[in-house]
Amino acid sequence: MIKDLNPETCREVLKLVKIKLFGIPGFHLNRFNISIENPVAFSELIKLAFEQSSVDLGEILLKDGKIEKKYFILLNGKRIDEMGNLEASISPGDTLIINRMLLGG
Amino acid sequence: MAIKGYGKQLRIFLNNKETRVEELDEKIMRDFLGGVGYGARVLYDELEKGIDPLGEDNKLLFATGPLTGNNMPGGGSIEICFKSPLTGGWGESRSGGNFGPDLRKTGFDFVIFEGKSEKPVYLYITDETVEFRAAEHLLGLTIEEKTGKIKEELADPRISTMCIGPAGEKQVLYSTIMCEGRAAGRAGAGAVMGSKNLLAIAVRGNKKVEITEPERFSSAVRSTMKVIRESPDSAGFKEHGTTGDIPGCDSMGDWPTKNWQSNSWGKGEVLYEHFHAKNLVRPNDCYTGCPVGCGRIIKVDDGKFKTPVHEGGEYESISAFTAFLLNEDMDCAVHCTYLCNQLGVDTISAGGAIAFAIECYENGLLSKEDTDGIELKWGDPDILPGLIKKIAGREGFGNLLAEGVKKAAERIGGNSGEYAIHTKGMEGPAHDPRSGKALAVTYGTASRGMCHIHPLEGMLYDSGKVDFGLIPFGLEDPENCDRWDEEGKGRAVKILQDALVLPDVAGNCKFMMYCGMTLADFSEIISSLTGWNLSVEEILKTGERVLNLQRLFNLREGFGKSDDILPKRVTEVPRFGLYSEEERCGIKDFEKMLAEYYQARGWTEAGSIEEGKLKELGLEG
Repeated sequence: MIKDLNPETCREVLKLVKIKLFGIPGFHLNRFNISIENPVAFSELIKLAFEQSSVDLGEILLKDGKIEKKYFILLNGKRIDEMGNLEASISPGDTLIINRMLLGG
Repeated sequence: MAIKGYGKQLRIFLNNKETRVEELDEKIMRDFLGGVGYGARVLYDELEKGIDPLGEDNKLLFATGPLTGNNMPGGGSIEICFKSPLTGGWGESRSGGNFGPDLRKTGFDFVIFEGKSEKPVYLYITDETVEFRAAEHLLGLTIEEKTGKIKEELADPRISTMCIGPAGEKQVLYSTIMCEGRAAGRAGAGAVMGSKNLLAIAVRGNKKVEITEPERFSSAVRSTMKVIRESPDSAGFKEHGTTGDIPGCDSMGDWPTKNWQSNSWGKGEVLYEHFHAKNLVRPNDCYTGCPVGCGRIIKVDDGKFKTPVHEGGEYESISAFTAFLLNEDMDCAVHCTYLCNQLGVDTISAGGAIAFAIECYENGLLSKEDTDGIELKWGDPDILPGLIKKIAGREGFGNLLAEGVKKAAERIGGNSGEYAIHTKGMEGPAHDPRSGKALAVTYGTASRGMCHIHPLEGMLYDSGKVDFGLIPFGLEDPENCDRWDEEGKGRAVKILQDALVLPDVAGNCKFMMYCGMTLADFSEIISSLTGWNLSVEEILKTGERVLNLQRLFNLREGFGKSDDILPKRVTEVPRFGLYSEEERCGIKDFEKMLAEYYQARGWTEAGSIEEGKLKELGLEG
């Protein structure tokens, strides 16, 4: 049962983008939220993630300004490479799952 | 004369319970090192073409290698080589655990079983002595029960055992030989052991091999261990095991789902989270001294799939009882893998066979009359434990599935062959070549069929962008290739295979190479151990030699280009999931990739080996 639900809390929750990391050395099963007011490009979200959570997604994901091929990112269950990669639009309430194969058992 | 770094070979004649201790041939050891390399040499030389894999003429070789040992990187390893009853071709099966190191401590690196015992027996091997023991009382027992009884009878809890379960006794064609909680799972090693009336082997020893340059050797082992221990991949493996790959493989389209109708499901994240939160007890080293520790201790606390604490929960096994079958009940999957391991059934082939059966049933090729009244449905966890027991006991409908999908499809007829996902008769594992095309070539050409060991390097190359330090040896940088490119993958796979077969030749775990162990490390350790001073190039040539000899074994058994194939479904764009509209997923010209691979290998267009290549590798004549 949800207790102490108030409109302000709801508004704050709805601003959150959920980020989950799988298979990334040092960050496997890591999850955190980023608060945004309006839709932003994924490249912008990477910067906000570092400001708000100290997780440097740019350091993890990017090489020469592009997402490294070994990462597989899903935005609300859909492949981000089909949505423009760094240009993909991320909205409040979205879920991003960032995957990398651990070792291939 | 004894070879430094090696022990001896024990040959066991089960017909008359005689044994013979044999010295190893230095030329053969240098050329083939051990494990599946030495196994290929022995079985190619000693088996006649066309023998019955379940007859007395087949041989079962337990093989360690120079890197097998508790102090070695990945040295908890044993390879078993034989003619496969599942495929009719080259058979090998590997298990982790302490058995390999403990076998070496008896003074024997290799044990060859010949003939057939009149009555069920098990063997107890100690420091160069062998004891045959009656085993009728072990018939029908599970792996845990057999292992417990043997340790009790021998009054020594520290012995290591490998034994077959009821499925091996019934010669289920994909039955396993279990090293307690670990499986030599694929190709039907358990059936061959069962056909010989050999139920178990127990070992305990105190011997050590002689090391040529002890200080250099220790230094090489220490530095390799350090690299592995400090690898971030090693840390990831220790923390999340192989099952931690499920979300990643699902998202990258590397998770065969619903009998390969798709390469992704979208449930991987949720399923793994359940596993991690509810089933995982703790990580586990499969053998004493492992620098990685990818094993898991798992359980199901309560409910209809309640399962005791046990070693298990591997990526392949869990995938076979979730995605293959659209089963969303992780507790059920854990329970099913436990049942398979206790009964001695290969989890991958069992999951594949059940998926095949469900699809046949769905399409009217099987009815309730055929299935002993069981309604086969996707995603129904309740039918799975019963089906596993039927397969293990060859009871009713289980007797058909115990033959594997290739033979089962031949018996069912109609278009059931479309649903039988295999290469060379071996059911496909839980990685999908629609995630990256190198995997298509490795599946099509691997010596034992569509297995989960030798093709993995293709997937790691394409999707993981791992080069294994092979760029100086001609491998194209994976960062320069798209995973869905087809051109160049045949050439890449040739180099990847030659290098990545080496752990199975040298007698250690392949995951060490995933965690940073290089060809130079192999070279330095083996050279300081034996005094041979093998260069990196020679080591790589050994891998090539071994794979070509396994190819010769298969060619002699009648395999050829027509067996280097992928099931049609696996080449098609997925029917659902994340990649259902991704045309690049589909395999457009497998023939062209195969031709490129053959050319890189020095094979003819028909898939046989050019004379020049045979000479180059010392395999002529």
